[in-house]
Amino acid sequence: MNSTHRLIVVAIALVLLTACAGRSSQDGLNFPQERATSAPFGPRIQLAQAQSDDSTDEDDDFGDLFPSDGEYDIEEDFDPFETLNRFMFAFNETLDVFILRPAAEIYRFWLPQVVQDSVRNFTRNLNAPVIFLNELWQGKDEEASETIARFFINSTIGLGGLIDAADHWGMEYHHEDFGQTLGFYGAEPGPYIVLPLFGPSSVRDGIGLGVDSLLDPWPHVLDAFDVNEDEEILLGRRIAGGVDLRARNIDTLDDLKRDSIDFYARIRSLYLQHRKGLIEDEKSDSPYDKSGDEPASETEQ
Amino acid sequence: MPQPCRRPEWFVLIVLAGLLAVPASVAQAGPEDAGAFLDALNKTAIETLNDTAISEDQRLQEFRKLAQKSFDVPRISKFVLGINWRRATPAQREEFLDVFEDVNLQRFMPLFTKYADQVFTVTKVRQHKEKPRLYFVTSTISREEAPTATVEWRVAKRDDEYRILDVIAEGVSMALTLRKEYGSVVKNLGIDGLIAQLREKVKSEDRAANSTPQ
Repeated sequence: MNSTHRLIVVAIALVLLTACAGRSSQDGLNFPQERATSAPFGPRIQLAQAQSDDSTDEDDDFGDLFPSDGEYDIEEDFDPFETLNRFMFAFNETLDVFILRPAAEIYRFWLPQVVQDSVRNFTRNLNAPVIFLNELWQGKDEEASETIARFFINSTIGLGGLIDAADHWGMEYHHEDFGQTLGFYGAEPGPYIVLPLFGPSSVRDGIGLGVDSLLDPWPHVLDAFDVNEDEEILLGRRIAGGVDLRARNIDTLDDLKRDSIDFYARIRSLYLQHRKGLIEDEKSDSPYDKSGDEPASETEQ
Repeated sequence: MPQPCRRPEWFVLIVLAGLLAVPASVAQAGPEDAGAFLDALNKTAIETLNDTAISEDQRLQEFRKLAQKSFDVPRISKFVLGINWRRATPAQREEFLDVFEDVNLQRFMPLFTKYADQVFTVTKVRQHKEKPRLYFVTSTISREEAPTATVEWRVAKRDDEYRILDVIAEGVSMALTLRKEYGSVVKNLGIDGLIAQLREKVKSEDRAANSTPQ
């Protein structure tokens, strides 16, 4: 459910960071493996350049970007259960290799884009009530009213959520979950944890995931209408959402995996940074001058 | 898989745009310069990597020069190694710098060759309030088939030259991510283990690139 949206954004971030996918022969540029053979490829960075002492204030760029009293934990991610987490990570990866990724490949190859988009729109629309509540609790009234408007428009004009009609009228999809709500009120993520099936999480976000599933109205709706296959329907919704999400990130995750030397540690860092960014997105205490924002708002539309 | 840009008319346009944009950016002053620097870098990189007039080796050499001029590799390397930089011997530092540069060239090169229809736009330039040498440049990268991505660049100006320190996508810092990942590898395998892993990665990427038929 909400973890899926989280994953979408993380996945986008991943592809941008790795940005390596082109495997055409043109990319084969024969990197020299030994220093001795590197001469034809131009001079390399000299060690002396990096040896200079950064003790003077003007030189320590990264010290200014990530101040030690700042909110970024730049030394080590808090992961006291690393051994267990790595095991769970490997377990999830195995499931992915043998089940989820193949299913996603088939889904991506055989279903037309319009069907794939309908699956995404439909599962997103079902999440709207939970997103609405979380936006409300974070005092994001504008977003909350937009989410509820989107829900009514897409459920009716959008044929039960299959079409994102509201998006055409400028009401874009946005997402908040209870982990973010807790973070909004100052809750730290706590230890990093890898959940079976759901993947990267933290104690805070794991609790959020549980609360969000309690907030989800659809089990009660199905109950109220005495639908017998309610469990199958709810499971189907999760599977459809999961496969759609995985299909949209096949290349991204492949690239990311190939680009890492410690996939587990990279995913952990990406997850924690990304969640932090989501929670802090509205904070205004940026050390950067905002004057440059003016002209940009025009070009950004 | 999308092919690298090969259409000659495209090159001409890019070269023209590059020629027009670079002098203009040199002429003006102010924080917009940091944005112009990235614009020019993007254009020059595309131009360099698609220059069919020179050999592949020359292209790599030119791109390496461009990257060295545009990224503050020594500072990034030190930050990425973190506490292990101080623990490393001079020989290890040298080896790390060496292989880290290759890893990054491999990471960034496809960015400029993969999609011919990719449009890079600088949308915002902000200056650090207390440290005026630091800039935060926001850009968008859009392609027809993909959602527009927002990428932010942290740039430092020193002696009238701009250098990239960090790239941030969707709130995730590249330098910080690598610092954590490499830190984890060093914890398990030591500094030499990290260097060996990176060397192996560069080698296998290169093999993959060479063995894949067009």
